Amino acid sequence: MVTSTDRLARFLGTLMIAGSLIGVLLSLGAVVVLACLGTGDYPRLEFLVGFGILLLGATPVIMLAAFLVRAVQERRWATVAAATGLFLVLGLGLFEVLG
Amino acid sequence: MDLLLIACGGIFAGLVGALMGVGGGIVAVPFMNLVVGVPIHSAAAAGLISTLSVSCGAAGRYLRQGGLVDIHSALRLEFFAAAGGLFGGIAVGWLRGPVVQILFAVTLVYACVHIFRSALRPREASSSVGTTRVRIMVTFSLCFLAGVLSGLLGIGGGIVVVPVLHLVLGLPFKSATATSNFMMGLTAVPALCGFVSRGDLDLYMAAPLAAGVLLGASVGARLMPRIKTPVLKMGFALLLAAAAIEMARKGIGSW
Repeated sequence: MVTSTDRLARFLGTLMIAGSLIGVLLSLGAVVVLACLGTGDYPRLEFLVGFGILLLGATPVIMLAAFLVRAVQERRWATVAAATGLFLVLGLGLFEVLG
Repeated sequence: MDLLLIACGGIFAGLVGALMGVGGGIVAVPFMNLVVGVPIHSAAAAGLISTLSVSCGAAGRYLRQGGLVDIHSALRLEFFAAAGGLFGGIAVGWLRGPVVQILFAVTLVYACVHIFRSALRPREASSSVGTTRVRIMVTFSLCFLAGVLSGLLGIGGGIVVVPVLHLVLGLPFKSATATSNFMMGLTAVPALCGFVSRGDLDLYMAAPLAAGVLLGASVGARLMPRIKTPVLKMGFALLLAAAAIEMARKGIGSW
């Protein structure tokens, strides 16, 4: 029997594969085009390079958020605490970047 | 030309990593530092991006297969690994390049021993290491250590996490690998924060490396069942030993 957690895991699995592929390919494509164009100022392409990597980094965080929501719905408080703690660590990391 | 070299190195690192059962970072970082000539801090940052891409791809596949990733245990352990990753990513900024290179050389030697042992005899799971409380403390501490290593050196930390999950917690090997892959991506994100804040992450090198590692890891995962791995593993372990010697030599030389 396929439970709702299994369905969520499958959906998030697809999301993770898609996120990593799109993120990496977007960045790589922009880097290759920039290399072909040579010297010059191409802000949109430079943005795409960063955006691809950002998308890659955001993929596991989105997955974590989805598992946190599911853990709250299922009242698995130990998992909720762990996921919230993880968000706290990620928040500290973001603080390090922005600060 | 550099782009092509980095992408080819990434493919090699991903392929070798998948065949050896370790992440691509343990090969990609020495490649970037020793072959491409990138400073060790930037090489480690690029290694983390590769780890992130491989982890997302592999964990995604395992999640779709269902039943392999122990999500609830992974999230509890991941708190310690992520905290270690954040600490390692910040702490590496306090260390000079040669110190990081020597640390990496020591880790490579450990990886060699790990690969040699796995080639000679597959490990049997044992959950009889001490009492439950001791096992939990050991697991949390080693997950934190794996995170610190990930943040310091730009590797996934699977060489520490997989044996912990398999030997200490008694998870079946395949489940331990899947759970470790799931955890690695979440460790890499906070670990990267320190590198980003210092400006060590060069996106123009990280993108082709990550794409190469992702491609190499996918090919390696498909090839793995068809290849007799013990002999290959010993060959790769020797390659890592050579990288360890070169890395140590470079680190000591520029001390």
